Amino acid sequence: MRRIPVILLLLLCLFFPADETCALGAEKPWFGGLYTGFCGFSEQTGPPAGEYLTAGLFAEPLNIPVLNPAFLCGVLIPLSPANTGGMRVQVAAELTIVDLPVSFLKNRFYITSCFSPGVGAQYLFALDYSTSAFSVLIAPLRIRVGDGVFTVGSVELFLAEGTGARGWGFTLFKAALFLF
Amino acid sequence: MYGKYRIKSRLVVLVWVIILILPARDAEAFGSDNAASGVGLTFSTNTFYGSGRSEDSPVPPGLYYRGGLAWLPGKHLEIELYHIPQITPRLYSQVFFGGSVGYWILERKENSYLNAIVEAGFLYGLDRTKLLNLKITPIVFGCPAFRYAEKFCTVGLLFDLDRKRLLWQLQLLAVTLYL
Repeated sequence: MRRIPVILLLLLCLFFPADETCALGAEKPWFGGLYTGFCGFSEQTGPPAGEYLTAGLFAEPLNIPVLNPAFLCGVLIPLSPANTGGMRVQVAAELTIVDLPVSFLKNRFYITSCFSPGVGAQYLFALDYSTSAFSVLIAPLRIRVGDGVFTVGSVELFLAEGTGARGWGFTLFKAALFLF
Repeated sequence: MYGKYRIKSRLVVLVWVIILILPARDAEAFGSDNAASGVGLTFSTNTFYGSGRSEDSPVPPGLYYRGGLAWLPGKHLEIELYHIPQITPRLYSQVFFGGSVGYWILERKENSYLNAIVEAGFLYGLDRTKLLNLKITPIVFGCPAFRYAEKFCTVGLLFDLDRKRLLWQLQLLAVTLYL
């Protein structure tokens, strides 16, 4: 049974080689950049109700066509209402499951685009470390276009120790732009 | 109670059906050279800022988005119908329905790329909140010829007709995909 994921991974590598699937080109000269987005949380998760701006740095050190990891570090800033008590530090890891070229989007964006669904996990904590939370992330609508990765409508499931799910979060839109 | 949730869930399903059929529509349209029309689907972030005490605000705090239809008749006009639901902390616990008439400052010529828009409109909430709306979008990239328009840093002023107070509205990013 343990061989099945390995076989699946090898098959995906075979069918989606890096030079054809990566929207950043065969060389993929980028290592990381800036990300920013808008998100919010359900009542049970802890942060006060409101709209949050998320911003920070990310790194995508490997150039592999499947299960490509990225690491993010940034802050959550409450936009509305602007309440400094809601500020959180965000540390996250994401995994792009696969980069699938989407040919019909080329007529819309004029460059090669890839459908790049992802999963991940993140750890949020207050600046004074008085509260913290852990969540898993599912990003089904993620598109890699040019020098950016754009996520629409990703869902986070917050986990509580021993009791399972604690609440949920929603990222409306996130743009990660490669800069270096 | 259940009827209210059924209506909300049907609205959510309708919105998602529109979003999901868009790529299929695109695939057909791209068969011809320039199939873009002046009708588009529009999506944007939406932040409300209540002036004064937040407990009086007609808009409960949370994450909102704006989604709707845009139509561009003529060289300057834009007519939009949209809804603004609350996503968090409670999904669709507040929804605003609205419409607006916009004026593109520069004439929309073929392949013109940069523009700015002023708009006037209204919002009507499920809790019968009535808001008048004035907006300005200083930066617009694209037009139907490009099949998309990106609007940045839209600032709006809302007037609550019942409570006689002003609120601010900010849409940092809006994207319209023309069909």
